Amino acid sequence: MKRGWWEGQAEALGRAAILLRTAPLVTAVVTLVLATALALPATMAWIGAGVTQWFGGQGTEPQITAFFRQKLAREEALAVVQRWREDEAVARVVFIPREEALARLRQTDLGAAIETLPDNPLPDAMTLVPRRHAPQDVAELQQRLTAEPGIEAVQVDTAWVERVHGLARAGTMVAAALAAWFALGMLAQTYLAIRLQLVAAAQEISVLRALGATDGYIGRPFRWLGWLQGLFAGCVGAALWGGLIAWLTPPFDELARLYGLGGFFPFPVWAGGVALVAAGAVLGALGAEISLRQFFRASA
Amino acid sequence: MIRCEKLAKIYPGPVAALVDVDLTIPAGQFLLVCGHSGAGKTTLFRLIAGLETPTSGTVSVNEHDVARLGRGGLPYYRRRFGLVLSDAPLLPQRTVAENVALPLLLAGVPRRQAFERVALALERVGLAGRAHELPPTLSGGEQQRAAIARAVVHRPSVVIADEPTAQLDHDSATEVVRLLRAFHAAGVTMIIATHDEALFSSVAQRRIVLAHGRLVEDAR
Repeated sequence: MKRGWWEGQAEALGRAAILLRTAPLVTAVVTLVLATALALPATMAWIGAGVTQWFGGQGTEPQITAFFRQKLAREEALAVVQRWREDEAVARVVFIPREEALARLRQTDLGAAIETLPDNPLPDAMTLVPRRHAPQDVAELQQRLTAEPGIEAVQVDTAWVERVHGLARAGTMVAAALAAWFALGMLAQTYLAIRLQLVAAAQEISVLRALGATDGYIGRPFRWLGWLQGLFAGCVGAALWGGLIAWLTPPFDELARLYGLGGFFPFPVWAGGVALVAAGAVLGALGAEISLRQFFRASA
Repeated sequence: MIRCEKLAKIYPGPVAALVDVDLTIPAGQFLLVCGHSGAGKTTLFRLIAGLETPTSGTVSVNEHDVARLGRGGLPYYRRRFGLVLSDAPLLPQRTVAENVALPLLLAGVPRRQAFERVALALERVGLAGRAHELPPTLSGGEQQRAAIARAVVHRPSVVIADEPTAQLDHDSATEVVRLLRAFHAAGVTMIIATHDEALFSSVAQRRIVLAHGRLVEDAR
């Protein structure tokens, strides 16, 4: 009767656990290095995702705000709004009555100051989104609006949103590059750790070969070793990351509150933790596989 | 039947370890391989067991050329042999029983069944009480008997032993010879290298002598 696949895997897993236990300090150091390589880019990605989420609701399409003259009658203002709604160069027009603008202003830090004024100092306004976003098209629309008799002032301001989006994009790209870089580092570290184990087990491997062991049999404990090391690193990395997130969340939440941007919850902590553990295990197994293939090729 | 034809092995240097050896070993024979150190005995054994590839010539078993087996087939070929070689010592970090079980586990025998057979093999070589000890705690004679148990536990058709009685006292050496004789009586082909021909004189059916890598004497 042949032994089952599971029995062979269990035996190899046992050998891998013995290999890990043989040098506990080395195992701990390698695990910590790998865990850091996982946790650091994950934290950056978390921050990047949060910032993107903050400003995700702010459109990057150019928006023009036109303020009507203070003394312009509401009917006249609405007529102007209607005319611009029918303009082929304009995608959307939203009329903002002065009462609504005042109500919005009252909810800000200026609310108390506004209450002291006898009258509503704000004019009626409208926001327009151009159909074409090229700078010259937006500028032309701005000029036409400025020339409108009932309009007092015209304001175009999308630059800050674009800047923040640009920063968030750059941050996400840096996080992605770091993640790739650290993943490569983790592969190299696992490769090296398994390589050292293979060199240390050279005599055993030579004996097993003489007795008729296949490369698959010889490599099995080392594949498990890479996987286990990656898994441990993933668990420690997830714990490190969770700690960092717990530490960073309150100040980011506070920052978000100050800017009226809502909470800072880019993605659930458990999802990030699971992803880190999975990434650790996969990268560990991959590093071991590369190391084994190179070892077998060299010793063929 | 094992057949070596024009078998040669040249190591980088160049060092001619084996030169044009023609040798046929019928199944069930007890063959003694003699010669001074460096005569080519170990190289001949490694070539026959498929642990090395010849520079020229062929090794064939039952008319199948070993060179044609390729990387995938070699491990299965090696399992036909029981080896007592200095190249394949007992693994010091595994117990005696775990060492002896290796050929069975490699052949896919379930663990429980494998260790039942290991217990029988160890009993046969007089090491039943040492199964769970590590090899370095055993005496030289006990280690050699454990190596023999590992060589025969999977019932190979051929046992190759390189100096199995070297560095053993007379009693231990006699015990090793008795064991090898018993396994030969069960139909196993024995290929033994030794400096102590007298010890095997009663059991050997054929004696060849190697000198400077060449087969210089073949006596039946």
